[in-house]
Amino acid sequence: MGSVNNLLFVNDSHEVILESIYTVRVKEAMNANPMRVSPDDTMRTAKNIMKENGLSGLPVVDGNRLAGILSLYDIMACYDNGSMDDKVSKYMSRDVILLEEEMPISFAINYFNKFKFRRFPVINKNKELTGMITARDLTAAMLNNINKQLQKYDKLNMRLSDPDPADIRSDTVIYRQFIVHKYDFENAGKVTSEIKKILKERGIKQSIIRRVSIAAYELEINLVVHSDGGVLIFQLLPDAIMIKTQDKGPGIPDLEKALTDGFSTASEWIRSQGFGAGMGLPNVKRVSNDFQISSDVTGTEVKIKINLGNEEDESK
Amino acid sequence: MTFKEIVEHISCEIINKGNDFDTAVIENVSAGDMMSEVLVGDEDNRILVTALTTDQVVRTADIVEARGVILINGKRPQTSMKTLAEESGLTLISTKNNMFTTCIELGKLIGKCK
Repeated sequence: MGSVNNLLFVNDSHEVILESIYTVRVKEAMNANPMRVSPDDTMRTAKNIMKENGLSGLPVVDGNRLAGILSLYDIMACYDNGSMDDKVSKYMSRDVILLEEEMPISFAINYFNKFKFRRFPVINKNKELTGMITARDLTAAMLNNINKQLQKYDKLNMRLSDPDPADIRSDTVIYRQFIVHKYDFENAGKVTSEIKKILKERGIKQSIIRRVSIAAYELEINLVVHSDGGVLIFQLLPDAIMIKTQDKGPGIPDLEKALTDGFSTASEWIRSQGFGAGMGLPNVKRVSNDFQISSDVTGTEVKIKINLGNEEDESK
Repeated sequence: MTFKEIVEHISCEIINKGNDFDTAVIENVSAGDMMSEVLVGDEDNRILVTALTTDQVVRTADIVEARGVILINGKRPQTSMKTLAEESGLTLISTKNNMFTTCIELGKLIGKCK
């Protein structure tokens, strides 16, 4: 199973990078409001701006329109053949390769591969200059985006080593967290077996163990079948057992229906695995003394409590 | 009803002899292919009757403390299911009978059905 997980991870990483290339727009990566000169400025002015700002190229703007681009080579040509009092328009390149701000950065990557230029001007729909982009800007934007995405992906994993203090009660006897992956039928139920083992070792009453197992199993299966993966948190307290599941989405569109016996959104394939009878959440609710659920598109959270040692509760 | 009686009266094959094969007394039957439906019941000393051949049957049986599982329609367990049943010490039986016939036979044996 480890190898399968690794494979998924590699695929996911790949997608993260691809997604960055195709979803981050030039606008988000570029340096907005870059230094600029006008065609009527002198080459001296342009040289000073470049020197003071450590730039190797400057866009030349006439009004709002991009008129050309001036590079260090143009400055050198001016030193060799002319006067620094000459106008920028005399030396600038008019044949400029442009990027549009709404383009995905995949275009920019292509341009850097295709042309030898170190920076490209960026224009908006009205053909006005809105930024400049360098290879460094691209790398920074991509890394930034990849980081954000990975953080999102790892958010749940990070909770494993860094539990939310709000989740832990001061009198907690045992606290355990488990990651449950989407569609991982092969391992579905292992978390429940683990919890059951813990409770048996502690000498918890069989009737309680059964109720906890049913709740844990249904919640675990829900993570596998319906969520994009999530975490199951188990806590043994002196007087009760608490289980909480948090998933990464996609959320339950109609909570009321989901809590109705027999209502199911499971596909045929899931049903062929023995799940999707529409009894999951109702079963959890039935065995719990306290049941709370909240759900939106970012995920679903279920919190349940099963009291220990009360005969009335056991007869539920 | 004991496993011995089941094997004597129902045409079947023992795939795995569980830890309590010789001692278990079966009093109830849960039949179905939806594991959540099985989890609804509270009965003790159950045997599960199902056409589902996945690990989840064994896990569900474990949760409800079922004594064994009967696979119907001549179904064979998936390799991982068989392994898990062996590890859990759960009795696993396969019969060529369908769900209805199997349940009737079991009912007769338990004495709940005449």
